[in-house]
Amino acid sequence: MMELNPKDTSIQRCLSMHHVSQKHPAESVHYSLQEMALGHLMVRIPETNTDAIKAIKSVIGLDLPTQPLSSVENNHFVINWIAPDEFLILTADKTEHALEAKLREEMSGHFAIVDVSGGQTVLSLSGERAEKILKKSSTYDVHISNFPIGKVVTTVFAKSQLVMRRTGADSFQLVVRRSFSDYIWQWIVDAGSRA
Amino acid sequence: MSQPNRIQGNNASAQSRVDVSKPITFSFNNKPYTGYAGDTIASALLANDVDVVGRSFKYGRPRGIVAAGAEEPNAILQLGKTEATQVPNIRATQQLIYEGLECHSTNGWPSTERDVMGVVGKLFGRFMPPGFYYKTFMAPSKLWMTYEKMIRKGAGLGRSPKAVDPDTYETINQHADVLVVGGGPAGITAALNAARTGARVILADEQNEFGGNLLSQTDLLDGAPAQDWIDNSIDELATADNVTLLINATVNGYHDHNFLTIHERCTDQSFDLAPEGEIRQRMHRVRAKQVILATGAHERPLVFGNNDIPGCMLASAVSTYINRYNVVPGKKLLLMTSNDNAYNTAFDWHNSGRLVRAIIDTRPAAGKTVVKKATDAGIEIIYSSAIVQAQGNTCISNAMVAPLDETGEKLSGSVKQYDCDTIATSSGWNPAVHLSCHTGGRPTWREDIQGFVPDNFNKNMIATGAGNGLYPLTEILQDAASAGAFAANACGFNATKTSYAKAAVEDVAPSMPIFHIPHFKPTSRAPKQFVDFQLDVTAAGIELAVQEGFESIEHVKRYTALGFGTDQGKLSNINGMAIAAKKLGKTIPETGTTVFRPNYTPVTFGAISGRNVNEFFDIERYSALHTWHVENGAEFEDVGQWKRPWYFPKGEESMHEAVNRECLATRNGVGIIDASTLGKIDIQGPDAREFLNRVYTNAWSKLPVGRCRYGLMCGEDGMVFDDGVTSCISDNHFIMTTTSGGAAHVFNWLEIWHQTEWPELEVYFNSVTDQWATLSISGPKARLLLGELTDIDLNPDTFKFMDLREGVVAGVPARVFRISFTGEQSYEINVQANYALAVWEKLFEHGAKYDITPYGTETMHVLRAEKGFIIVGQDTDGSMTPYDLDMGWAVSPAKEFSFLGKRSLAREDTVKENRKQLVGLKTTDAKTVAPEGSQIVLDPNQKIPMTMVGHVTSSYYSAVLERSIAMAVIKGGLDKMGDKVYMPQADGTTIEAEICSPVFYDPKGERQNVK
Repeated sequence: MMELNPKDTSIQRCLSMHHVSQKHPAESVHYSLQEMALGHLMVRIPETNTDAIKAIKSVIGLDLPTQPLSSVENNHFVINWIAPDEFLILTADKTEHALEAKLREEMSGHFAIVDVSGGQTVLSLSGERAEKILKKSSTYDVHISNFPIGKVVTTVFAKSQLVMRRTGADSFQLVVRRSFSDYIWQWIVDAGSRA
Repeated sequence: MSQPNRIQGNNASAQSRVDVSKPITFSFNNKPYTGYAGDTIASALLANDVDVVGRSFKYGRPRGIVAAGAEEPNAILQLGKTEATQVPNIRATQQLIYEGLECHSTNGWPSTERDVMGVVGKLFGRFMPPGFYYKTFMAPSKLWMTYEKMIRKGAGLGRSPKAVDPDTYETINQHADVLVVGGGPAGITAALNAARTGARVILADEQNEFGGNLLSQTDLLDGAPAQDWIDNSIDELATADNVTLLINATVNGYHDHNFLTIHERCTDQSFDLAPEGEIRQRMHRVRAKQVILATGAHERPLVFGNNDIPGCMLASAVSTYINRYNVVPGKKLLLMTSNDNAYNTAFDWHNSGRLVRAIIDTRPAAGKTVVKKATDAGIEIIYSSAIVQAQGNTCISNAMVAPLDETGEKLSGSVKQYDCDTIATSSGWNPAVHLSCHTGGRPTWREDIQGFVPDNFNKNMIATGAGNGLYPLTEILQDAASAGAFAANACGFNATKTSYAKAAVEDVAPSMPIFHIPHFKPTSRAPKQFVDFQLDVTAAGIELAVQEGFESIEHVKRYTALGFGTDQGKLSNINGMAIAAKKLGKTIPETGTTVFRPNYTPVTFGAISGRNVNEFFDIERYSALHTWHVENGAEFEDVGQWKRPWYFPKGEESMHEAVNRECLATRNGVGIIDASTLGKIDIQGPDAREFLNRVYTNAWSKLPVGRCRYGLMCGEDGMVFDDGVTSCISDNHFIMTTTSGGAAHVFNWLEIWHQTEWPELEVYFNSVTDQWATLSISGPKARLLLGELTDIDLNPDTFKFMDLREGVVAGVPARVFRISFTGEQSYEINVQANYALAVWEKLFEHGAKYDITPYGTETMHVLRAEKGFIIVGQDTDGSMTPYDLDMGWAVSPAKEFSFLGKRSLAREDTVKENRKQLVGLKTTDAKTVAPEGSQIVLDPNQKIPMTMVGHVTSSYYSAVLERSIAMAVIKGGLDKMGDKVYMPQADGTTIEAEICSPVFYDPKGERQNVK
């Protein structure tokens, strides 16, 4: 597995929302929208590979969230349930390669790990209008009674789709594919411009 | 300006909802009028004594306001101050006035007062039976379009705006435990009882305020004016954070699985154009666990002669105008009723200080409560009688009243004339069952209330109140409270008791089942007795339809157009059915019922599309280099949802010139293309190779690590549906590329086969399309350029064509594939997308001395066509096998396990002679580029219809070859090399060409393999 971040840190890096966030700034007192630079690893693993699942815990310190639509987190990592054999691990910016190397070292049997840190990004959406913005965008019931803190769903978002996770009463993380960045960012800015 | 019908002083209603301190000026048919804040257009026009609001559809008869709500058939207006803000078919009864509002009659071209159709209708009306237009203008059929245009304009329905809609619309998704439809006494009570359990409740009402029929009536609740109860209840609901209140919000559609759409008009009641930053309308898409229909009921008018003269109104509407708007629509009222409830209209009229001429009751007796009130007020009641005919032109002058026999089917005495200017009628109420029908419910007829009520088709829906045929207020409130509690409990909440307001109990006599008042003459000879006002359907028309053999009510409706207007027959359907049933000698339930489809009232296209317009109409997917392309003047092409650079014009260059330049630069120097949109799928697992063997036509068992291979994918039908290069990173790890547009489909295809057919294979797929940006440099100088920027050993003896290496390019970790879609020496540089721009710019910095040239999809198409490389979807169309493409070399029938499509490749049809096969074409005139899609014939002189043997799939001018080149599919083409073919064109010319190999350039592949 390659380290995909250059050693030379002076090389220009453009995160997914780099251009659109400049062109359509999300400036509002009602909500806040920010891109988070994070490392993203997709892990595919069958539930029968218990040794490797244990190995993940030994590296990350968290049990895989096998409960559908759930997530677990500690100070360093978030693991999101995506599908019964699919998990998204979020880690600190540029630590994804080291984490993948460590996981591969400890894990055995059948599994797949893919670094997608450049292919998708996390948007942090918060504020009093955040939930309303999601209601304008997604058919999923985002009321806190149905979408409590820590729950994670892959769902439709306007004409696109994304993964969303509630992190607080008024705060959410949205995992967005890079090529849909402009559309989704602009959609949120538009939806957030009205009560 | 005076408002002669506005009640003032002591007679004014204390519960009126108009604010006389806020006068508002508006215009109707270009004349200014004044009303007050809270007035609808209808109430303001009535206040100003405007009788005629339009002309009827077929006969051009003058028409006035009949109702006070959604059921209004006549007062259908065109609204809007500017072309862009035109709104057709607005109900004057539901639109509030605001300062400067402009509206016009939709019926009555060229003018409402005097019009062509009115004369036609008057002169020929009796000769215009149902089906008149179809019968009369049948021949010659080609002229129907002309007739139809004129008839339509004369009949007049609203028109769409011709300018772009400047307003903004929005959609919002709502989820509720209990959605309560209708905010009258039943809806409010149900909402209160559901909300008090903690359930998430939405209460929606189409009017501009809550209260429903309580706003129109003078009932007391808990001993106080009903408005007090409304205010307290709405306050309680508004402060509960589990409740959403929506006004001006019509629940228009009830769809499967308790999904309902609510059309909220946010600014329509106040503005012609929504203020900056506000949205005009919002569509709520509601998913509710339980739905309570508290939709109320529409009063049914009685059908009698000339019942369409302005001044003939629903009894309840008259009460509404008096109590809610302080408007009394005339001076002398004659009331005809078959029930006690409508007596209240006479009392309201009386209390406004104007004259009630008499109450004509079709029954022999009425309930004690109302009789006492009438006696106290000195109002005459005439029992067992009916108004048989109204008289007047643009307003009523008098009415003919005659005694009825006990069946109500015949007159039993002589006529007496009553002078009056307003006739209010009531034959009872029709529960508004519309929503309950939308998902397949069939209303049930209840003889006791003479009306249809919702059936219990939907177990998660409860109907209550007048919408369920319950009329005494005290019963409505009690039932609605139970419905609210029941619905909440069905959602898992715990309602232990119900609460509701107390209303007076009245002594009510039964109503009489009567719909159509008999006349002295047979229906066909009597003055017109209208059933459907909007579409001019008469009782005689319905009887004629039955006589002509239409027995099903659905056929009668279609023949007569009953219920086909924008009001969907809210007033007319039951009367029409009753008349048809009587003529057929059947009961109403035997005759059938008519059901309703969404929407309950018309919805604007804007509200349906919401924000999915302009920049949000479709997703635009961008690569990580998109901004660079924009800044460097690219023209873009849509590839699936991707925006890809099409070509990069310099200065005033045409597309043709730009593409020629880009092609030559790549053939002679170095070109660069952003190939990031290629689908990329990461495949890991010990069975990855075996899986590839099964989904591709060729063999993958022996592909060494670090090598790439081109593969074709077929469906089970043996037809090619995608292609691409797949590379071996390690024994258990491959990277597959797909076409840009086919990526999602291929990914799903792999998952489906893995999950459903071969779950035993240990392999996982992950989309990495967006993770890797792909920068492809191509041309004789590509290696020189890359050599300046990478630590990878580019020695062509070791880094060969179809090899893969990992290393650093321009300081960024990269996978470099030596693969080529141009036929030149090419390197596809893949880097993590966040660093794509840095590497791209570095390539330009170092490539300047080689005149590095960015190119787009058009040049890519030309370069690959010069090499005969196919584009799936352009040179294939889902009917081409690998053999048809002369790509049998990419099929390995000997693989141990079968591959998808293998069996189909041996079908009789796929192995037959003369299948269309992919070949090259060289036009005889080297400068002529044959249009793509040109049909190909072998004999240019054959008479039409000519025998077509194929068509051109790709066709370009090749700058490097200085001639036109084309690819085509031709029957048996591979055996016809060197033959002449012909392409007849639409302009009559014929292009001649010769069949050749599709590899036009460097057939030995020396350039891409160059050492």
